[in-house]
Amino acid sequence: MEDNNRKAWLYLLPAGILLAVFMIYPLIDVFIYSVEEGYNFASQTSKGTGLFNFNYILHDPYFLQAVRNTALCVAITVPISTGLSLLIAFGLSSIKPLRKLYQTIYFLPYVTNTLAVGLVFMILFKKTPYTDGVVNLLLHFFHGPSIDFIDGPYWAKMMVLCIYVIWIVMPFKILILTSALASVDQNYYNAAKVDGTRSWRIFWRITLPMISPTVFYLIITGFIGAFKEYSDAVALFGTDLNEAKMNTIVGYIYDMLYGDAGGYPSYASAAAILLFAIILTITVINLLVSRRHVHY
Amino acid sequence: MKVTIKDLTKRFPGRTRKDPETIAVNDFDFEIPSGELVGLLGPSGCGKSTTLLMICGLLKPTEGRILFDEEDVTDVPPEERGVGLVFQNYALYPHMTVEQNIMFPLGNLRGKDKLSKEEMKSRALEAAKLVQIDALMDRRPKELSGGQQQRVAIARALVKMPRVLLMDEPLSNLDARLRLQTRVEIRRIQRETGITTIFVTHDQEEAMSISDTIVVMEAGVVQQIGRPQDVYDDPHNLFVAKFLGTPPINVFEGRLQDGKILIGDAEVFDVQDLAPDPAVDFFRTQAGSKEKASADAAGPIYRPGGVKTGPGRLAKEAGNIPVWVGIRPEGFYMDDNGPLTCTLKGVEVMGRDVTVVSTHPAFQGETIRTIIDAKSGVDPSKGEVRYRLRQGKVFVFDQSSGERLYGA
Repeated sequence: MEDNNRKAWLYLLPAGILLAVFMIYPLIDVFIYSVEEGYNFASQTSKGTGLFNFNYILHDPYFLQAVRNTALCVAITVPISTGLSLLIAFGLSSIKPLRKLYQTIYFLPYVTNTLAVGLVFMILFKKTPYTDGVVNLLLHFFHGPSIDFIDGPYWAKMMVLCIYVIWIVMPFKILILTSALASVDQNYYNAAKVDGTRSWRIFWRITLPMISPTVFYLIITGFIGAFKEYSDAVALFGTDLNEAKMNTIVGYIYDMLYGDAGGYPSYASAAAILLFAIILTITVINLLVSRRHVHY
Repeated sequence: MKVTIKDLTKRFPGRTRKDPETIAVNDFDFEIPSGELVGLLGPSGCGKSTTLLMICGLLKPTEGRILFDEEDVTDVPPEERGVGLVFQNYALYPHMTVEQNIMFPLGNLRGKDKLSKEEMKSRALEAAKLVQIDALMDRRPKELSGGQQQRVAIARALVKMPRVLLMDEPLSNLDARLRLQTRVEIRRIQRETGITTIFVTHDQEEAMSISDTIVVMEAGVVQQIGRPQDVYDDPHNLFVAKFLGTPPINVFEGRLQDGKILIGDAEVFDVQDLAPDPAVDFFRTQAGSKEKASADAAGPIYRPGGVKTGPGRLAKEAGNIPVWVGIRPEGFYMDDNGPLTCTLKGVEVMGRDVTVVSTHPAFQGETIRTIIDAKSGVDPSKGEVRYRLRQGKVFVFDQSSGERLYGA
């Protein structure tokens, strides 16, 4: 037994070393940075320890803007993308002809590079001297106003960002939900059919509870993913997100490290710790809620 | 509720255009009297489950009609047929409690049939009491044993008071002891409710023990329909004879010669002692099927595809006909001068009687198993055992068609 234990640790060693070097050590380092005041990269010195960094970023309008943007993005995209994916997955599993084709089409955004998708969105939304963008042309057709989605009002920019995020996260969710729906035993549906159950009751009382573990998995990972939103904003609004008022928490962290105003690892670390705390809290809440609604 | 099945046929198209279509059920014709417990019996793939699903309405027949009493339900969707179906794996909703599971069908009722929550609860309790599961109403299916899940499934099928109860392999997921207990239970519930019940099984013992009538099927074709004892005592063909009974019937290669049955060179039986196959009367009964139906108290006798053999033909060919001779295990008795000599392999003591295991060159299969009274005293040290055969336990089958020529 003792011998086996030693062997087990030996086998775990390579993975353990990698984890320690690339995960645990940086994590501890980030935490240390976040409490060191006025840390200087060049001299590797600091003026002392305390919560000054946290105090600073919590009063930084850019950080507050980033938190607001991120929160808004999370609150809008997670429910909509999950709900839409559920709808599409349910539709996909109810149709027979061309299902494979539709599945492929819906999965395409997943294998497409974020920046390429950004280009497509530019064509759709961006105003240039030559064209107003496809969406504006459509708006004009219905005698709507012309809206600058990329450099215009805040709500327009936020809307484009949310559409973008929803569009890019849906394929994965549809894929997972389709397979979850396919794994529900057909006998449950047959039993419900013999009993004369209407389709909406089948969906709410049988299908949804049966796939609820998958739905909660998607909600939890969806929250985490949306909180870490950054690259999609860059693809739409360029690298100067503060200027566009479209920065996110991860964007703020990046800016603090490498942006124009870069060189502030302490502030970046404090923001990272705060983001971690937020995600942890939300995930714990999610898990508590899911425990009440998932029975197996 | 009387269930009438008329010329029921189900064909499944082949996977590709070149593939032949599969005939799952071929020309099934049967009338189930109200309040009977009928067992559809056959090996897997014989079409029994397909038949059940068609009666239930989940599958559409290719041809034929299904009638509940006088009402044609062939094109009626399952939910309007008033059937309760118990699935082989029970299909209990795992996220609902026992009570919610049983109540689920009631929640589907609409319009004037709509029930209040209290009514639903009391109906569910009633059904649960019938299957003796009322103490476990708050459990989830996962927290129940297999037998308890089975009861919940039956309660759920019964709660909406179906006109016909259908069960797909109701006992196959239970262990042997529970199976015995549950089949008695199913019989009791069926008697108490008086609901016409059709169940599917591949276990002949199960079907024989609780059914009023059994339907033996093979390759989509009904082989025989009748009371369990009648089918056992009077199998119409080799398949039915082999399928019913444990240990199974012993089949020998033999000949019919001058009114005698020969196995090897031994004259084991005189045909005169054997009644001809009653199905020889088949054509007559077909013509006057109405009188037949009323006169035949022993249950319907059914033969697919008509009978090709009869005493007339046999008389003509009396010279030398190759046949299969089927002898039930209990159809042997020991006699030192008996005509059938077998090589003794061993004796298995069962208590009340013994199983004698032996071999014979003309035997089709590994070993002959015969059930002998324990008092007859087999001497295992002797190398051979001699048998005489009992009347009513010997059947003669045509070698090409498998139809029975003589026996019983």
